Amino acid sequence: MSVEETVHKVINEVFFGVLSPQEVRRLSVSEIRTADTYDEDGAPIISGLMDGRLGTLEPRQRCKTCGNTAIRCPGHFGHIELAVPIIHIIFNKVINELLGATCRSCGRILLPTDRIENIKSRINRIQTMLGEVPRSLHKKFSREARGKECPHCGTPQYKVIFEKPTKFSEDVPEGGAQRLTPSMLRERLERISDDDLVLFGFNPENARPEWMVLQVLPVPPVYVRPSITLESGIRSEDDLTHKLVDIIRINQRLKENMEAGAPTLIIQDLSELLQYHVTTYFNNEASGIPPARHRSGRALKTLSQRLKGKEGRFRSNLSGKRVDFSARTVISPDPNIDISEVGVPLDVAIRLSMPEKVTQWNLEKMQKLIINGPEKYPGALYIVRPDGKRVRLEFVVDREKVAEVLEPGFTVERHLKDDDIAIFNRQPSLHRMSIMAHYVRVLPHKTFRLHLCVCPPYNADFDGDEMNLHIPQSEEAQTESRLLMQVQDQILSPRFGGPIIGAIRDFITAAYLLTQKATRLTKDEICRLLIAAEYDGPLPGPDIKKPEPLWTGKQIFSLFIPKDMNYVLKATTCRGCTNCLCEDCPHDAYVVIKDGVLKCGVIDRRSIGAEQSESLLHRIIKDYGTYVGRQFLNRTCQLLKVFITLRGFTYSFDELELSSAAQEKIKKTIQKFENRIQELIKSYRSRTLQRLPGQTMQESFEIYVMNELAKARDKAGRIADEDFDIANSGITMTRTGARGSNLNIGQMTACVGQQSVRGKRIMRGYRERALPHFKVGDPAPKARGFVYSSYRDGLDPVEFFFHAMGGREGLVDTAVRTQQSGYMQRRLINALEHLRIEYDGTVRNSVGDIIQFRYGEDGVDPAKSDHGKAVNVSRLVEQIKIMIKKGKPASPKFIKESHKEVENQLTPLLNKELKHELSKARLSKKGVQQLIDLTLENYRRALVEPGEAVGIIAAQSMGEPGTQMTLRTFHYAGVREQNVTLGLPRLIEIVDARRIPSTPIMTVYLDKEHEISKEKATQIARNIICTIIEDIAKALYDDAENEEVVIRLDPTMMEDRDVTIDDLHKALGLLNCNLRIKENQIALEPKKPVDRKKLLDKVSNHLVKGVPDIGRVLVTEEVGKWVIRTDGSNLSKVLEVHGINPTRTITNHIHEIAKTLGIEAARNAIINEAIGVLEEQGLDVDVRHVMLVSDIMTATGEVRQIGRHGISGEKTSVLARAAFEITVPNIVEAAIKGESDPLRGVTENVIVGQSIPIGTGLVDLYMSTIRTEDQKND
Amino acid sequence: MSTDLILEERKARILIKLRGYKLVKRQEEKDAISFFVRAPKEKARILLWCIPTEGTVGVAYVNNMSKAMKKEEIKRGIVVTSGRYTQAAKVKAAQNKIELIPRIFPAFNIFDHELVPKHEILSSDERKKILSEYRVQPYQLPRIIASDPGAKAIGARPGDIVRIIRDSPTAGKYTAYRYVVEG
Repeated sequence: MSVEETVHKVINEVFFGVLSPQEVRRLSVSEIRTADTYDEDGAPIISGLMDGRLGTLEPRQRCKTCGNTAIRCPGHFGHIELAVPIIHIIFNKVINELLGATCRSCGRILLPTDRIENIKSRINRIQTMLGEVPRSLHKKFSREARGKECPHCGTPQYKVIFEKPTKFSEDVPEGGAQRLTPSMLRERLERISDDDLVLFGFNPENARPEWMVLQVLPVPPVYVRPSITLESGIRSEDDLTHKLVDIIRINQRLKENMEAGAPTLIIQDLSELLQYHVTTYFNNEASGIPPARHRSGRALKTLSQRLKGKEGRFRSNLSGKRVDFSARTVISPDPNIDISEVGVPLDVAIRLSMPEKVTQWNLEKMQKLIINGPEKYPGALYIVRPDGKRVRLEFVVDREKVAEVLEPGFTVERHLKDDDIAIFNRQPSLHRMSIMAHYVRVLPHKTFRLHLCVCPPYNADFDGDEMNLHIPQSEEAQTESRLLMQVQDQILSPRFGGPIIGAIRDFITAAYLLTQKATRLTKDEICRLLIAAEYDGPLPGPDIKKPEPLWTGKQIFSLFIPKDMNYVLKATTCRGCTNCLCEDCPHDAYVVIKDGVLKCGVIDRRSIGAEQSESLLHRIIKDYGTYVGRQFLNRTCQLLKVFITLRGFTYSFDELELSSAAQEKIKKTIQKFENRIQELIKSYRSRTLQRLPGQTMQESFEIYVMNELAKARDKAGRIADEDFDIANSGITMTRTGARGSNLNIGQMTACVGQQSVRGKRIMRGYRERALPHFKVGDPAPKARGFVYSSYRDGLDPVEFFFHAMGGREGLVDTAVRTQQSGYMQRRLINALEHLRIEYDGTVRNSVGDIIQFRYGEDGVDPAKSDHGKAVNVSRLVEQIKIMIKKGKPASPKFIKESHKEVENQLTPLLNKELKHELSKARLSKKGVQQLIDLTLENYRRALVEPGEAVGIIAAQSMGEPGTQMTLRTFHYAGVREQNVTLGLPRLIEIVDARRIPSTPIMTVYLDKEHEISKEKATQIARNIICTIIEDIAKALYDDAENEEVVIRLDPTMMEDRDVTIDDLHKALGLLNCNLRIKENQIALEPKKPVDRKKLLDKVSNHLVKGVPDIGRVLVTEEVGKWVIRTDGSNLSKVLEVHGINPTRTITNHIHEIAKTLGIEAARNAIINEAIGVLEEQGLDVDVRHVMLVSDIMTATGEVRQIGRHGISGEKTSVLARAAFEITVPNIVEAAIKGESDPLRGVTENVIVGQSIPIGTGLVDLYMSTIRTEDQKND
Repeated sequence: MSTDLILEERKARILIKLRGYKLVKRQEEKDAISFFVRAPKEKARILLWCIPTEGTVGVAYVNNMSKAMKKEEIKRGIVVTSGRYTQAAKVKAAQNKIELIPRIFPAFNIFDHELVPKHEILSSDERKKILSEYRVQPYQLPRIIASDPGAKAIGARPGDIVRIIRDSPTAGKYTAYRYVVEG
């Protein structure tokens, strides 16, 4: 059967310009003169605002212009002839710019002819060099065109004063400020020649400047401003209509007054009033004027406000498409269904429909469905006849009759049934796994059911979450869903190339309990387990035969592992012993799978958990395909579910009780730390505490105390943890990675620990104390929020209060960070959405500019990679060793030659790895050949496909972990002396390309001579740290008597900074003063009389030694070598310091790197910084994503931010720019330049409702216009 | 290289080395050190002035230099300094084909820095090959601005295409190209 094809028009381009008055009149169907809308009968008044010719709102009325009904009439514009010209508010800045740069009499640009020629050739040159002329250049020229006299006609020029919003006047030397009326402005603008306008970046054909002063005002059709009838029958008009009424009323009055020859004062007042109304009609939020208000006092929503913002036309209506065939309800878990299924409630299944073509083979079935009708499941809702007519079965009385006439060619829109495809989604859709295709499973009750293993990709839980379901209707959509969006194809996340779907929570606990050494199962039990897991095969022999046959859990689990699987890994339960006993691990944490049998080790999170790379699950999916992976997950989950229900698992209150020995120990430990703190307090009070560099005494004390308290809590927690054994349910969960952490256990059983607000101990509240229960300034742990109790024992009131304070901060933090990361993600998506892989393997934007020559530098799709690696060569070797019988090892020559054949088809890194493995593995000839072939094949299979939306994937891969960071907000107060911004704020800072990072930091490496000793390193550090007079002066004052500025020096500080009097002499020499140096005192006598107050400031900030901006230095040891870390950054100057190693010294200030080391270095720095932040947070993100972000940020040779002032603001598409931010100015700009939108990106095409040119939307049919050889011969 | 040379001279010598110039003559003058160098392919000589100051470099220097260039019949000039250029000097220099090396130009081989990959200018044949291989106009390539330290170091001028050979964490080695633009 053929697929219906419909011809539809394609929009190629959207054009922007300014309407000329002629054009407005031409488009108008009627001049609007009357300020009223309807007469008493409710009929629209002719030439009123609701004139029938503008279109009609009534359902059954016909439009007076085109004769169509309301649905098909496009609406028609009217116009208002304005009595006086009115400035269009949105163009006021443009008008001002033009007035300032052109002659007041001849209208030429205020530049000499030769300069104009010069500029023109420059524009041409740039046009050919860059393909476009940047906006900033035109701005530069118009700013350059200023002068006292016109170089063309010699007229003296006066300064134009522009008062916002619409008042222009001219500063005439004799007469003072003279008002420029809109008509005068219009005249002046008319005089500017087309040639000159080009220099300003205008497209004079589409945007003459005089059109920016309105003579006629277009009146939008009624569909733009529909009136609504309230229940009471009163008509309520749209805000725009209200505004138009105002305009017409004043306009009419002005006209009458002018005709009557009223005094100019009245005319002027009325003109200004008209100007006000027209201004607010366009923009009711213009600065400098009060917004027009509704009678109720609400500000009117006029044209600008309609377009702008999140609720505006662009973002809300044009980018946000609404759909049919969707459902939304609460979700609940169901471990009995397949991971690729979704349980759909019957109520939903009978309301959503799936079109099915009637064929001779399904005719009878379809007839039955029709007879069942819309209410009885399984039934049908509609019949679509071959001519396109739809029959709604709800209204059909005799359905049997309808069913009889059914024949092949009809389409029946039937109820959903099992195995239909559906698209399932949970907001926020942060990555592509938030929308996946599931197979429908119609189930009773009212919630959507999903398998627990798919919770991580959706980030779903069941505390009331709701999800959306969509039913794709066309064959094409269904096929694409099946091929691309199925759950099993989404198990491997493109973010890190590992499984994001996997076992969670109790599945993991169950896996551990099943596979631990002690588990023995009877035949009865294993049969129940295996039946539940749909196992179909022979039973293994029992492990213990007498007295009763018993099987181990490992045996049962092994049945589901592919038969020829071999793998070794360390489980989550691994304690990280320094000397691994491998197979003899006392915790059974060394997992060995040989020939598909679990030889030893327990299965836990590391093996089957979600978000675990290089796990058992990951290996199965990579080696045996997604289908086997899905089956493995399904089966094991069924098995584990039954196992844990049979066995039972609970964490009871009793299990939180520590042994009395442990309790005693904890008490003692805390007492010990308490004593240490008492000592600290003592030394703090006696001021003998050692100050940390760059911190005050108080700060140092706090840091010491917090450090001790954190240690105390950890120690207590560890004691508790050690007191329990793994049979304790809580410990089982934490050790296996099923849920919770050691910290949680510690807090529940031993000690909750320090509560903090803003990373510090709690000190806010009363004056110098947190609560009135404490003495003023009491620094004891208890007084500042340390909770000694455990959750089990309960908190005392004071502790409870502090705990609530800390808890509140956590909540606020989460809320704030979610917003921030959401906005970051939006910007990332917007900046990268139009990037895709082209057929030549390059990454390009929508207009074909190259961003990367090869995606991720090796062309490998992270989703198809093996945890980032293109091919896992060592694993291939293992597999080949098993597959192929051992033979004589191939000669090195053979290896070399066979490798050479494929060398140019692989990346250098892969070649190196392959060479290494080949030389190490000692394979036979056949094995070598197979390894090389497999490597090549796997590499090719891992390559990205043309059309892949790599930009969006990169944006999601960086944005989604951003929200994770918000949830993992526990950064323990670090005791490192340096304070660095990390986590989400730092990531935002990087993509923002902030001019100055919030904590600039340098890492200065030293040369061979200096890196070995601390003394020498300190010497360099002293040369780097910025020392100003203030730093080494005890006092600094202005001696009025002797007219001097006196510096009293601090010898200890001078020694500390290694400053000598000679240095000072040299440094102060530049100040143009006479120096008198006495012992530890320097007097500066200015050579010329100057303001000594200013001199004092100048002297105090005068640089004596070191590099400016370097605030603090820390000499630290790193792998046996000394390095200097600094607060503050000044790369170019530090690189010039003697004794450092300039080839490794770096900063975290991206712009500084770009300036001193170039754009390529900046690119690398962005990658390093971003990866650093993500890694520090323990988030796994593939480098390729970060590289892409970095590459687009540096593509123009300068570091551009991800956002409106950078990449998003420089997009080619007007619509895409307008849809992102700063909507109205972008459209204005486009209109002036006469820009057109080529509609080749994503957002633009979404806006106009066309398919997007990415992925499957890219496929197009091209026809060669060049004749082929055969045709030529004809 | 000996470290007892002054900073400016070190900068100048690095620049000469990176651009592959041949040093013909070194001459100390009143407040500058002048180097006469020869570019590898173009036969013309270039005068390189090294002005050891941290203050400002004004038009006077540029004027003196263009005089010196005229005397020696040299077409191109380069100024290396640690000082700041005045606006007038910049304008004048552009007129007289004198290239002003920015003050922050590092005094070591920047391609030795671990963040900076190797840059090289494409010959016109290579350029054609690249443009036809990717089927692009030069401006569709990623860009590098002419004042970029990497571009300055190898003497790339607007219109050139620069090849960049990066060490890649994913591929081992990776070649990128950048089109040199004004700025």
